[in-house]
Amino acid sequence: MKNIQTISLLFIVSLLFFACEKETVDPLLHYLEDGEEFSGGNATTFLTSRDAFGQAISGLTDAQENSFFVGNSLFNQNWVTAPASTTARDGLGPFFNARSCSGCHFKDGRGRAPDYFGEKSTGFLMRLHGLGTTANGAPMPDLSYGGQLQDQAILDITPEGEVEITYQEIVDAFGDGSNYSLQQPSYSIRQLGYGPMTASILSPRVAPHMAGGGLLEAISETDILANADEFDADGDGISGKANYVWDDFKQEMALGRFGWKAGKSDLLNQDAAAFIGDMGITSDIFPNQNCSTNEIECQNAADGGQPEIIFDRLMDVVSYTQTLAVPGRRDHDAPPVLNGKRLFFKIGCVKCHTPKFTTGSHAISALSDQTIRPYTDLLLHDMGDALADGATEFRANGNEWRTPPLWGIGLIETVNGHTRFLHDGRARNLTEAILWHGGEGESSKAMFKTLTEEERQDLIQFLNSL
Amino acid sequence: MIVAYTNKDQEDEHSCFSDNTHRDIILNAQGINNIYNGRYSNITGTGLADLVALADESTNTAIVNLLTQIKTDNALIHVPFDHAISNDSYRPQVLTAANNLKELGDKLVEAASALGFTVSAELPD
Repeated sequence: MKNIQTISLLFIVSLLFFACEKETVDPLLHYLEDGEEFSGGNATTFLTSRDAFGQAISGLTDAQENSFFVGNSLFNQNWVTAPASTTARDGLGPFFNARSCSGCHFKDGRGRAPDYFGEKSTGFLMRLHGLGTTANGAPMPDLSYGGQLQDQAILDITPEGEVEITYQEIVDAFGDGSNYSLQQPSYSIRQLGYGPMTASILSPRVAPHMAGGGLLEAISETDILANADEFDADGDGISGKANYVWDDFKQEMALGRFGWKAGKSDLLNQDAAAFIGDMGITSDIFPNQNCSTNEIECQNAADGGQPEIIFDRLMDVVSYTQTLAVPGRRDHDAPPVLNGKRLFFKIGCVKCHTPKFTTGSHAISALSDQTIRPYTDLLLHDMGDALADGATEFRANGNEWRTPPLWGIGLIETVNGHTRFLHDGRARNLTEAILWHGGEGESSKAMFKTLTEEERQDLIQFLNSL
Repeated sequence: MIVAYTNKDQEDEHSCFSDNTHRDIILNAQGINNIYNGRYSNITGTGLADLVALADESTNTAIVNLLTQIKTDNALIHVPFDHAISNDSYRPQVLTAANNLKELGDKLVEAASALGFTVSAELPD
Protein backbone atom coordinates (compact mmCIF):
# COMPACT_ATOMS: atom_id res chain seq x y z
CA MET A 1 0.00 0.00 0.00
CA LYS A 2 2.76 2.28 1.00
CA ASN A 3 4.51 1.43 -2.22
CA ILE A 4 1.47 2.18 -4.25
CA GLN A 5 1.09 5.48 -2.47
CA THR A 6 4.72 6.34 -3.18
CA ILE A 7 4.35 5.38 -6.80
CA SER A 8 1.17 7.38 -7.25
CA LEU A 9 2.77 10.31 -5.47
CA LEU A 10 5.73 10.06 -7.81
CA PHE A 11 3.31 9.89 -10.69
CA ILE A 12 1.56 13.03 -9.55
CA VAL A 13 4.84 14.81 -8.96
CA SER A 14 6.10 13.86 -12.39
CA LEU A 15 2.81 14.99 -13.90
CA LEU A 16 3.17 18.33 -12.19
CA PHE A 17 6.73 18.52 -13.39
CA PHE A 18 5.70 17.76 -16.94
CA ALA A 19 2.86 20.22 -16.83
CA CYS A 20 5.32 22.75 -15.57
CA GLU A 21 7.81 21.92 -18.31
CA LYS A 22 5.20 22.46 -20.95
CA GLU A 23 4.33 25.89 -19.69
CA THR A 24 7.87 26.96 -18.90
CA VAL A 25 9.65 28.88 -21.62
CA ASP A 26 12.94 27.71 -23.04
CA PRO A 27 15.50 27.90 -20.17
CA LEU A 28 17.91 29.65 -22.54
CA LEU A 29 15.57 32.64 -22.53
CA HIS A 30 16.83 33.22 -19.00
CA TYR A 31 19.95 34.60 -20.70
CA LEU A 32 18.01 36.98 -22.93
CA GLU A 33 18.07 40.49 -21.49
CA ASP A 34 15.63 43.19 -22.35
CA GLY A 35 17.26 45.65 -24.73
CA GLU A 36 20.61 43.89 -24.85
CA GLU A 37 20.70 44.27 -28.63
CA PHE A 38 21.40 47.97 -28.03
CA SER A 39 25.08 47.42 -27.26
CA GLY A 40 25.72 51.17 -27.08
CA GLY A 41 22.36 52.23 -25.63
CA ASN A 42 21.02 55.12 -27.72
CA ALA A 43 24.46 55.32 -29.34
CA THR A 44 23.81 52.09 -31.27
CA THR A 45 23.62 51.62 -35.03
CA PHE A 46 21.97 48.65 -36.68
CA LEU A 47 23.79 49.04 -39.96
CA THR A 48 25.53 45.75 -40.79
CA SER A 49 27.34 46.74 -43.99
CA ARG A 50 31.04 47.55 -44.27
CA ASP A 51 30.14 51.05 -43.02
CA ALA A 52 28.97 49.55 -39.70
CA PHE A 53 31.76 51.17 -37.65
CA GLY A 54 31.54 54.57 -39.33
CA GLN A 55 28.15 55.87 -38.20
CA ALA A 56 27.56 58.93 -36.06
CA ILE A 57 25.51 58.41 -32.90
CA SER A 58 22.08 59.99 -32.83
CA GLY A 59 21.15 62.93 -30.63
CA LEU A 60 24.07 65.15 -31.61
CA THR A 61 23.66 68.91 -31.82
CA ASP A 62 24.20 70.63 -35.19
CA ALA A 63 27.66 71.74 -34.07
CA GLN A 64 28.55 68.22 -32.93
CA GLU A 65 27.32 66.77 -36.23
CA ASN A 66 29.44 69.23 -38.17
CA SER A 67 32.40 68.34 -35.99
CA PHE A 68 31.77 64.69 -36.86
CA PHE A 69 31.85 65.52 -40.60
CA VAL A 70 35.08 67.50 -40.32
CA GLY A 71 36.65 64.86 -38.08
CA ASN A 72 35.56 62.18 -40.56
CA SER A 73 37.33 64.05 -43.33
CA LEU A 74 40.54 64.50 -41.31
CA PHE A 75 40.41 60.87 -40.20
CA ASN A 76 39.95 59.40 -43.65
CA GLN A 77 41.88 61.60 -46.04
CA ASN A 78 45.62 61.34 -46.49
CA TRP A 79 48.02 63.89 -45.07
CA VAL A 80 50.66 65.14 -47.50
CA THR A 81 54.28 66.21 -47.31
CA ALA A 82 54.89 69.86 -46.41
CA PRO A 83 55.01 72.38 -47.95
CA ALA A 84 51.82 71.87 -49.96
CA SER A 85 48.88 73.95 -51.19
CA THR A 86 46.61 71.79 -49.02
CA THR A 87 47.64 73.77 -45.98
CA ALA A 88 45.04 72.17 -43.71
CA ARG A 89 46.47 68.70 -44.32
CA ASP A 90 50.20 69.02 -44.86
CA GLY A 91 52.98 68.01 -42.54
CA LEU A 92 53.04 64.24 -42.96
CA GLY A 93 56.07 62.65 -41.33
CA PRO A 94 59.03 63.03 -41.78
CA PHE A 95 58.63 59.48 -40.41
CA PHE A 96 55.26 57.78 -40.39
CA ASN A 97 53.46 54.43 -40.26
CA ALA A 98 50.43 55.59 -42.23
CA ARG A 99 49.30 58.65 -44.19
CA SER A 100 45.90 58.84 -42.50
CA CYS A 101 44.08 57.47 -39.48
CA SER A 102 42.09 55.29 -41.86
CA GLY A 103 45.38 53.90 -43.17
CA CYS A 104 45.37 51.73 -40.03
CA HIS A 105 41.72 51.93 -38.95
CA PHE A 106 40.29 51.28 -42.41
CA LYS A 107 36.56 52.05 -42.38
CA ASP A 108 37.03 52.90 -38.69
CA GLY A 109 37.84 49.25 -38.32
CA ARG A 110 40.64 46.99 -37.22
CA GLY A 111 44.15 46.57 -38.59
CA ARG A 112 46.19 43.41 -39.01
CA ALA A 113 49.82 42.36 -39.15
CA PRO A 114 51.52 42.54 -42.57
CA ASP A 115 50.96 39.41 -44.66
CA TYR A 116 54.45 39.61 -46.13
CA PHE A 117 57.70 41.40 -45.35
CA GLY A 118 57.45 45.03 -46.37
CA GLU A 119 53.65 45.27 -46.67
CA LYS A 120 52.75 48.84 -45.61
CA SER A 121 49.89 50.51 -43.75
CA THR A 122 48.06 47.42 -42.59
CA GLY A 123 47.43 48.84 -39.13
CA PHE A 124 50.42 47.28 -37.38
CA LEU A 125 53.27 49.03 -35.61
CA MET A 126 56.13 48.30 -33.27
CA ARG A 127 56.71 50.13 -30.00
CA LEU A 128 60.31 50.30 -28.78
CA HIS A 129 60.96 50.22 -25.05
CA GLY A 130 64.30 50.76 -23.39
CA LEU A 131 65.05 50.12 -19.74
CA GLY A 132 63.51 52.42 -17.15
CA THR A 133 61.05 55.24 -17.61
CA THR A 134 60.95 58.91 -18.56
CA ALA A 135 60.38 61.65 -15.96
CA ASN A 136 56.60 61.23 -16.39
CA GLY A 137 56.80 57.50 -15.84
CA ALA A 138 56.25 56.70 -19.52
CA PRO A 139 58.24 53.91 -21.18
CA MET A 140 61.82 54.86 -22.07
CA PRO A 141 62.05 55.31 -25.84
CA ASP A 142 64.88 54.07 -28.03
CA LEU A 143 67.60 56.73 -28.11
CA SER A 144 67.98 56.55 -31.91
CA TYR A 145 64.49 55.62 -33.06
CA GLY A 146 62.11 56.96 -30.42
CA GLY A 147 59.27 55.04 -28.81
CA GLN A 148 57.91 53.64 -32.06
CA LEU A 149 59.46 52.36 -35.27
CA GLN A 150 58.14 54.21 -38.32
CA ASP A 151 58.58 52.08 -41.42
CA GLN A 152 57.84 54.88 -43.90
CA ALA A 153 59.25 58.34 -44.54
CA ILE A 154 58.67 61.27 -46.87
CA LEU A 155 60.68 61.54 -50.10
CA ASP A 156 64.49 61.58 -49.75
CA ILE A 157 64.46 60.50 -46.10
CA THR A 158 65.53 57.01 -45.12
CA PRO A 159 62.80 55.15 -43.19
CA GLU A 160 63.72 53.89 -39.73
CA GLY A 161 63.44 50.19 -40.50
CA GLU A 162 61.15 47.31 -41.26
CA VAL A 163 59.57 44.73 -38.97
CA GLU A 164 60.04 41.11 -39.90
CA ILE A 165 57.54 38.62 -38.56
CA THR A 166 57.98 34.88 -38.64
CA TYR A 167 55.42 32.42 -37.33
CA GLN A 168 55.82 29.00 -35.83
CA GLU A 169 52.87 26.64 -35.67
CA ILE A 170 52.10 25.13 -32.29
CA VAL A 171 49.77 22.14 -32.34
CA ASP A 172 47.61 21.21 -29.36
CA ALA A 173 44.29 19.46 -28.82
CA PHE A 174 40.83 20.18 -27.42
CA GLY A 175 39.40 17.97 -24.69
CA ASP A 176 37.49 15.98 -27.33
CA GLY A 177 40.79 15.03 -28.97
CA SER A 178 40.47 17.21 -32.06
CA ASN A 179 43.61 19.16 -32.90
CA TYR A 180 44.13 22.87 -33.32
CA SER A 181 47.13 24.93 -34.26
CA LEU A 182 48.21 28.39 -33.14
CA GLN A 183 50.83 30.55 -34.82
CA GLN A 184 53.43 31.98 -32.45
CA PRO A 185 55.01 35.11 -33.92
CA SER A 186 58.57 36.27 -33.44
CA TYR A 187 59.73 39.74 -34.35
CA SER A 188 62.95 41.31 -35.51
CA ILE A 189 63.80 44.67 -37.04
CA ARG A 190 65.62 44.79 -40.36
CA GLN A 191 66.98 47.55 -42.60
CA LEU A 192 67.72 49.87 -39.68
CA GLY A 193 68.34 53.32 -41.12
CA TYR A 194 70.10 55.06 -38.24
CA GLY A 195 72.49 52.66 -36.56
CA PRO A 196 71.92 50.13 -33.79
CA MET A 197 68.86 50.27 -31.56
CA THR A 198 69.19 50.88 -27.83
CA ALA A 199 65.72 49.57 -26.97
CA SER A 200 65.66 46.00 -25.79
CA ILE A 201 61.93 45.34 -25.90
CA LEU A 202 59.70 45.15 -28.96
CA SER A 203 55.99 45.62 -28.37
CA PRO A 204 53.87 44.94 -31.46
CA ARG A 205 50.40 46.53 -31.67
CA VAL A 206 47.57 46.44 -34.20
CA ALA A 207 44.95 49.16 -34.57
CA PRO A 208 41.63 48.29 -32.88
CA HIS A 209 38.27 49.27 -34.35
CA MET A 210 36.98 52.68 -33.29
CA ALA A 211 33.30 52.16 -32.44
CA GLY A 212 32.12 53.26 -29.01
CA GLY A 213 35.20 55.16 -27.84
CA GLY A 214 33.16 58.01 -26.38
CA LEU A 215 31.03 55.61 -24.36
CA LEU A 216 34.15 54.08 -22.83
CA GLU A 217 35.23 57.60 -21.88
CA ALA A 218 31.83 58.17 -20.28
CA ILE A 219 32.04 55.23 -17.86
CA SER A 220 32.65 56.73 -14.44
CA GLU A 221 35.98 56.12 -12.78
CA THR A 222 34.16 54.79 -9.71
CA ASP A 223 32.42 52.12 -11.79
CA ILE A 224 35.70 51.01 -13.36
CA LEU A 225 37.53 50.89 -10.03
CA ALA A 226 34.65 48.92 -8.47
CA ASN A 227 35.86 45.91 -10.48
CA ALA A 228 39.53 46.33 -9.61
CA ASP A 229 41.00 43.63 -7.38
CA GLU A 230 44.70 44.14 -7.88
CA PHE A 231 45.88 41.67 -5.26
CA ASP A 232 43.07 39.20 -5.88
CA ALA A 233 41.59 39.65 -2.42
CA ASP A 234 38.56 37.55 -3.38
CA GLY A 235 40.84 34.67 -4.45
CA ASP A 236 39.11 34.00 -7.78
CA GLY A 237 42.37 34.10 -9.70
CA ILE A 238 41.42 37.35 -11.45
CA SER A 239 43.09 40.60 -10.44
CA GLY A 240 41.87 43.56 -12.45
CA LYS A 241 44.35 46.35 -12.06
CA ALA A 242 43.81 49.99 -12.90
CA ASN A 243 46.52 51.70 -14.92
CA TYR A 244 47.42 55.25 -13.96
CA VAL A 245 49.12 57.11 -16.76
CA TRP A 246 50.48 60.53 -17.65
CA ASP A 247 47.87 62.77 -19.26
CA ASP A 248 49.85 64.92 -21.70
CA PHE A 249 47.03 67.46 -22.02
CA LYS A 250 46.13 67.96 -18.37
CA GLN A 251 49.74 67.40 -17.31
CA GLU A 252 48.80 65.08 -14.48
CA MET A 253 48.33 61.40 -13.75
CA ALA A 254 44.97 59.92 -14.72
CA LEU A 255 43.19 56.57 -14.98
CA GLY A 256 44.21 54.78 -18.20
CA ARG A 257 41.43 53.51 -20.46
CA PHE A 258 42.66 53.37 -24.07
CA GLY A 259 45.37 51.43 -25.84
CA TRP A 260 46.40 47.78 -25.48
CA LYS A 261 47.84 48.46 -22.02
CA ALA A 262 45.45 51.27 -21.06
CA GLY A 263 48.32 53.71 -21.56
CA LYS A 264 46.09 56.66 -22.52
CA SER A 265 43.54 58.35 -20.32
CA ASP A 266 41.15 59.66 -22.96
CA LEU A 267 40.62 60.03 -26.69
CA LEU A 268 42.30 63.44 -26.83
CA ASN A 269 45.52 61.88 -25.54
CA GLN A 270 45.03 58.79 -27.69
CA ASP A 271 44.33 60.71 -30.90
CA ALA A 272 47.08 63.30 -30.41
CA ALA A 273 49.58 60.51 -29.70
CA ALA A 274 48.47 58.67 -32.84
CA PHE A 275 48.86 61.85 -34.90
CA ILE A 276 52.45 62.34 -33.80
CA GLY A 277 53.46 58.68 -33.43
CA ASP A 278 51.77 57.12 -36.44
CA MET A 279 51.58 60.00 -38.94
CA GLY A 280 54.19 62.51 -37.77
CA ILE A 281 51.60 65.27 -37.31
CA THR A 282 52.48 67.70 -34.52
CA SER A 283 49.80 69.23 -32.28
CA ASP A 284 49.69 71.55 -29.29
CA ILE A 285 49.95 68.46 -27.11
CA PHE A 286 52.93 66.96 -28.96
CA PRO A 287 54.62 69.96 -30.62
CA ASN A 288 57.91 68.23 -31.54
CA GLN A 289 58.58 66.10 -34.61
CA ASN A 290 59.61 62.48 -34.02
CA CYS A 291 63.28 62.97 -34.79
CA SER A 292 66.07 61.72 -32.53
CA THR A 293 69.46 63.47 -32.37
CA ASN A 294 70.75 60.82 -34.83
CA GLU A 295 68.06 61.55 -37.38
CA ILE A 296 69.47 64.72 -38.97
CA GLU A 297 67.50 64.62 -42.27
CA CYS A 298 64.33 64.33 -40.22
CA GLN A 299 65.24 67.35 -38.13
CA ASN A 300 65.90 69.42 -41.24
CA ALA A 301 62.68 68.53 -43.06
CA ALA A 302 60.07 71.23 -43.68
CA ASP A 303 57.07 71.21 -41.34
CA GLY A 304 53.43 71.84 -42.15
CA GLY A 305 52.98 74.62 -39.62
CA GLN A 306 53.45 74.74 -35.87
CA PRO A 307 51.47 72.81 -34.95
CA GLU A 308 50.59 70.80 -38.05
CA ILE A 309 47.04 70.13 -36.85
CA ILE A 310 45.57 73.11 -35.04
CA PHE A 311 43.82 72.47 -31.75
CA ASP A 312 40.25 73.00 -33.03
CA ARG A 313 40.73 70.49 -35.84
CA LEU A 314 42.32 68.00 -33.43
CA MET A 315 39.20 68.41 -31.31
CA ASP A 316 37.04 67.69 -34.38
CA VAL A 317 38.87 64.38 -34.78
CA VAL A 318 38.51 63.68 -31.06
CA SER A 319 34.82 64.46 -31.31
CA TYR A 320 34.55 62.17 -34.33
CA THR A 321 36.20 59.30 -32.46
CA GLN A 322 33.93 59.96 -29.47
CA THR A 323 30.73 59.85 -31.49
CA LEU A 324 31.17 56.73 -33.62
CA ALA A 325 28.19 54.52 -32.85
CA VAL A 326 28.44 50.94 -31.61
CA PRO A 327 27.01 48.20 -33.83
CA GLY A 328 23.89 46.63 -32.36
CA ARG A 329 23.59 42.88 -31.86
CA ARG A 330 22.58 40.57 -34.67
CA ASP A 331 20.50 37.48 -33.81
CA HIS A 332 20.91 38.19 -30.11
CA ASP A 333 17.88 36.00 -29.36
CA ALA A 334 18.80 33.00 -31.53
CA PRO A 335 19.10 29.80 -29.46
CA PRO A 336 22.76 29.05 -30.37
CA VAL A 337 23.70 32.65 -29.51
CA LEU A 338 21.92 32.43 -26.16
CA ASN A 339 23.59 29.11 -25.46
CA GLY A 340 26.93 30.70 -26.35
CA LYS A 341 26.15 33.53 -23.97
CA ARG A 342 25.29 31.03 -21.24
CA LEU A 343 28.69 29.35 -21.77
CA PHE A 344 30.47 32.72 -21.88
CA PHE A 345 29.12 33.40 -18.39
CA LYS A 346 29.58 29.84 -17.17
CA ILE A 347 33.28 29.48 -18.01
CA GLY A 348 34.04 32.85 -16.45
CA CYS A 349 34.84 35.05 -19.46
CA VAL A 350 32.66 37.74 -17.88
CA LYS A 351 35.07 38.09 -14.95
CA CYS A 352 37.13 40.39 -17.19
CA HIS A 353 34.84 40.97 -20.16
CA THR A 354 32.31 42.85 -18.00
CA PRO A 355 29.02 42.70 -19.89
CA LYS A 356 27.31 45.86 -18.80
CA PHE A 357 27.92 49.41 -17.58
CA THR A 358 25.81 52.53 -17.29
CA THR A 359 27.70 55.57 -18.45
CA GLY A 360 28.08 58.62 -16.24
CA SER A 361 28.05 62.13 -17.61
CA HIS A 362 30.02 63.18 -20.67
CA ALA A 363 30.59 66.57 -22.32
CA ILE A 364 28.68 65.15 -25.31
CA SER A 365 25.32 64.64 -23.63
CA ALA A 366 24.20 61.92 -26.08
CA LEU A 367 26.89 59.71 -24.48
CA SER A 368 25.63 60.24 -20.92
CA ASP A 369 23.45 57.85 -18.90
CA GLN A 370 23.47 55.05 -21.46
CA THR A 371 23.20 51.37 -20.63
CA ILE A 372 26.03 49.88 -22.65
CA ARG A 373 27.38 46.39 -23.19
CA PRO A 374 31.07 46.72 -24.02
CA TYR A 375 32.24 43.37 -22.55
CA THR A 376 35.32 44.93 -21.00
CA ASP A 377 36.30 46.07 -17.53
CA LEU A 378 38.98 48.44 -18.95
CA LEU A 379 41.39 46.94 -16.40
CA LEU A 380 44.75 45.23 -16.76
CA HIS A 381 45.13 41.48 -16.44
CA ASP A 382 48.08 39.10 -16.60
CA MET A 383 47.42 37.13 -19.77
CA GLY A 384 50.29 34.69 -19.36
CA ASP A 385 53.77 34.29 -20.83
CA ALA A 386 52.71 33.21 -24.30
CA LEU A 387 50.99 36.53 -24.99
CA ALA A 388 53.45 38.69 -23.02
CA ASP A 389 55.47 41.35 -24.83
CA GLY A 390 57.64 42.15 -21.80
CA ALA A 391 56.88 45.85 -22.17
CA THR A 392 56.03 47.95 -19.13
CA GLU A 393 53.66 50.86 -19.63
CA PHE A 394 53.15 52.86 -16.45
CA ARG A 395 51.61 50.33 -14.01
CA ALA A 396 51.09 47.68 -16.69
CA ASN A 397 53.81 45.05 -16.55
CA GLY A 398 55.14 42.92 -19.40
CA ASN A 399 52.46 40.26 -18.95
CA GLU A 400 49.50 42.59 -18.56
CA TRP A 401 46.98 43.74 -21.14
CA ARG A 402 43.82 45.77 -20.86
CA THR A 403 40.68 43.73 -21.52
CA PRO A 404 39.61 44.85 -25.00
CA PRO A 405 35.93 45.63 -25.60
CA LEU A 406 34.19 42.91 -27.59
CA TRP A 407 31.35 44.96 -29.05
CA GLY A 408 31.47 45.00 -32.84
CA ILE A 409 33.90 42.07 -32.93
CA GLY A 410 31.59 40.01 -35.15
CA LEU A 411 31.54 42.67 -37.88
CA ILE A 412 35.29 42.98 -38.35
CA GLU A 413 35.23 40.38 -41.12
CA THR A 414 32.52 42.38 -42.93
CA VAL A 415 34.25 45.74 -42.50
CA ASN A 416 37.90 44.76 -42.77
CA GLY A 417 37.84 41.45 -44.59
CA HIS A 418 39.83 39.55 -42.01
CA THR A 419 39.44 37.84 -38.65
CA ARG A 420 42.82 38.58 -37.12
CA PHE A 421 42.65 39.22 -33.38
CA LEU A 422 44.69 40.03 -30.27
CA HIS A 423 47.22 42.85 -29.79
CA ASP A 424 49.43 41.78 -32.68
CA GLY A 425 46.85 40.06 -34.85
CA ARG A 426 48.39 36.62 -34.32
CA ALA A 427 45.03 34.85 -33.85
CA ARG A 428 43.48 33.89 -37.19
CA ASN A 429 39.97 33.61 -35.79
CA LEU A 430 38.06 33.98 -32.52
CA THR A 431 38.72 30.40 -31.44
CA GLU A 432 42.46 30.97 -31.68
CA ALA A 433 42.09 34.25 -29.80
CA ILE A 434 40.44 32.39 -26.91
CA LEU A 435 43.06 29.64 -27.01
CA TRP A 436 45.85 32.20 -26.60
CA HIS A 437 44.41 33.30 -23.23
CA GLY A 438 46.71 32.38 -20.35
CA GLY A 439 47.51 33.75 -16.91
CA GLU A 440 44.28 35.03 -15.39
CA GLY A 441 42.44 33.71 -18.45
CA GLU A 442 43.94 30.23 -18.14
CA SER A 443 41.08 28.59 -16.26
CA SER A 444 38.41 29.95 -18.63
CA LYS A 445 40.52 28.84 -21.56
CA ALA A 446 40.91 25.37 -20.01
CA MET A 447 37.13 25.12 -19.61
CA PHE A 448 36.64 26.28 -23.20
CA LYS A 449 38.86 23.42 -24.35
CA THR A 450 36.65 20.89 -22.58
CA LEU A 451 33.47 22.07 -24.31
CA THR A 452 31.97 19.99 -27.09
CA GLU A 453 32.45 21.15 -30.65
CA GLU A 454 28.85 22.33 -30.80
CA GLU A 455 29.24 24.29 -27.57
CA ARG A 456 32.42 25.93 -28.86
CA GLN A 457 30.57 26.89 -32.04
CA ASP A 458 27.73 28.40 -30.00
CA LEU A 459 30.20 30.44 -27.96
CA ILE A 460 31.82 31.75 -31.16
CA GLN A 461 28.37 32.47 -32.58
CA PHE A 462 27.63 34.53 -29.48
CA LEU A 463 30.87 36.50 -29.96
CA ASN A 464 30.01 37.04 -33.61
CA SER A 465 26.63 38.45 -32.58
CA LEU A 466 28.34 41.22 -30.60
CA MET B 1 31.14 71.73 -47.81
CA ILE B 2 31.30 71.81 -44.04
CA VAL B 3 34.93 70.69 -44.20
CA ALA B 4 35.91 73.53 -46.55
CA TYR B 5 33.90 75.90 -44.34
CA THR B 6 35.63 74.71 -41.16
CA ASN B 7 39.15 74.47 -42.55
CA LYS B 8 38.75 77.74 -44.53
CA ASP B 9 40.96 75.95 -47.02
CA GLN B 10 40.35 76.24 -50.76
CA GLU B 11 41.89 72.79 -51.27
CA ASP B 12 38.87 71.32 -49.49
CA GLU B 13 36.45 72.95 -51.92
CA HIS B 14 34.43 70.91 -54.38
CA SER B 15 36.20 72.45 -57.40
CA CYS B 16 39.29 74.05 -55.98
CA PHE B 17 41.04 74.46 -59.34
CA SER B 18 38.22 75.84 -61.49
CA ASP B 19 36.66 78.04 -58.79
CA ASN B 20 33.33 76.59 -59.82
CA THR B 21 32.27 75.37 -56.36
CA HIS B 22 29.28 77.71 -56.05
CA ARG B 23 27.84 76.28 -59.28
CA ASP B 24 28.59 72.70 -58.16
CA ILE B 25 26.58 73.26 -55.00
CA ILE B 26 23.63 74.78 -56.86
CA LEU B 27 23.57 72.18 -59.63
CA ASN B 28 24.17 69.16 -57.37
CA ALA B 29 21.12 70.26 -55.38
CA GLN B 30 19.21 70.84 -58.62
CA GLY B 31 20.02 67.27 -59.67
CA ILE B 32 18.50 65.92 -56.47
CA ASN B 33 15.54 68.26 -56.97
CA ASN B 34 15.00 66.95 -60.53
CA ILE B 35 15.03 63.33 -59.51
CA TYR B 36 12.88 63.90 -56.46
CA ASN B 37 10.23 66.00 -58.17
CA GLY B 38 10.42 64.16 -61.50
CA ARG B 39 11.26 67.27 -63.41
CA TYR B 40 14.08 68.11 -65.81
CA SER B 41 13.95 71.44 -67.60
CA ASN B 42 10.49 71.39 -69.24
CA ILE B 43 10.09 67.63 -69.07
CA THR B 44 7.99 66.21 -66.23
CA GLY B 45 7.24 62.68 -65.11
CA THR B 46 6.91 60.49 -62.06
CA GLY B 47 9.38 61.39 -59.35
CA LEU B 48 10.36 60.01 -55.98
CA ALA B 49 7.97 62.58 -54.51
CA ASP B 50 4.99 60.66 -55.88
CA LEU B 51 6.20 57.47 -54.25
CA VAL B 52 7.15 59.02 -50.89
CA ALA B 53 3.84 60.92 -50.75
CA LEU B 54 2.01 57.57 -50.80
CA ALA B 55 4.08 56.20 -47.92
CA ASP B 56 4.52 59.29 -45.75
CA GLU B 57 2.80 62.49 -46.78
CA SER B 58 4.38 64.72 -44.12
CA THR B 59 7.95 63.62 -44.88
CA ASN B 60 7.30 64.27 -48.55
CA THR B 61 5.99 67.76 -47.85
CA ALA B 62 9.02 68.47 -45.66
CA ILE B 63 11.38 67.35 -48.42
CA VAL B 64 9.61 69.34 -51.14
CA ASN B 65 9.69 72.48 -48.97
CA LEU B 66 13.31 71.89 -48.04
CA LEU B 67 14.31 71.54 -51.70
CA THR B 68 12.74 74.93 -52.40
CA GLN B 69 14.52 76.45 -49.40
CA ILE B 70 17.82 74.94 -50.56
CA LYS B 71 17.41 76.54 -53.99
CA THR B 72 16.89 79.95 -52.37
CA ASP B 73 19.69 79.61 -49.82
CA ASN B 74 22.25 78.18 -52.26
CA ALA B 75 21.78 81.22 -54.49
CA LEU B 76 22.86 83.43 -51.59
CA ILE B 77 26.34 81.83 -51.31
CA HIS B 78 28.97 84.41 -52.13
CA VAL B 79 31.01 84.08 -55.32
CA PRO B 80 33.84 83.11 -55.48
CA PHE B 81 33.54 80.34 -52.91
CA ASP B 82 37.11 81.03 -51.66
CA HIS B 83 35.77 84.27 -50.21
CA ALA B 84 32.52 82.70 -49.08
CA ILE B 85 34.43 80.45 -46.65
CA SER B 86 37.15 82.89 -45.61
CA ASN B 87 35.28 86.19 -45.18
CA ASP B 88 33.36 86.30 -41.88
CA SER B 89 30.48 88.29 -43.38
CA TYR B 90 29.91 85.62 -46.07
CA ARG B 91 30.44 82.53 -43.94
CA PRO B 92 26.95 82.30 -42.37
CA GLN B 93 25.34 81.70 -45.78
CA VAL B 94 27.67 78.73 -46.38
CA LEU B 95 26.83 77.27 -42.97
CA THR B 96 23.09 77.66 -43.61
CA ALA B 97 23.40 76.00 -47.01
CA ALA B 98 25.47 73.13 -45.58
CA ASN B 99 23.04 72.55 -42.69
CA ASN B 100 20.12 72.53 -45.16
CA LEU B 101 21.79 69.81 -47.22
CA LYS B 102 22.56 67.79 -44.11
CA GLU B 103 18.91 68.01 -43.12
CA LEU B 104 17.92 66.94 -46.63
CA GLY B 105 20.15 63.89 -46.22
CA ASP B 106 18.42 62.99 -42.93
CA LYS B 107 14.99 63.48 -44.48
CA LEU B 108 15.86 61.28 -47.46
CA VAL B 109 16.92 58.54 -45.04
CA GLU B 110 13.52 58.90 -43.34
CA ALA B 111 11.76 58.77 -46.70
CA ALA B 112 13.67 55.63 -47.60
CA SER B 113 12.69 53.92 -44.37
CA ALA B 114 9.05 54.92 -44.99
CA LEU B 115 9.40 53.04 -48.27
CA GLY B 116 10.96 50.07 -46.50
CA PHE B 117 14.60 50.65 -47.45
CA THR B 118 17.60 51.16 -45.23
CA VAL B 119 20.08 53.66 -46.58
CA SER B 120 23.16 55.08 -44.94
CA ALA B 121 23.75 58.82 -44.82
CA GLU B 122 27.47 58.15 -44.24
CA LEU B 123 29.68 60.18 -46.55
CA PRO B 124 31.87 58.22 -48.93
CA ASP B 125 35.54 58.31 -47.92
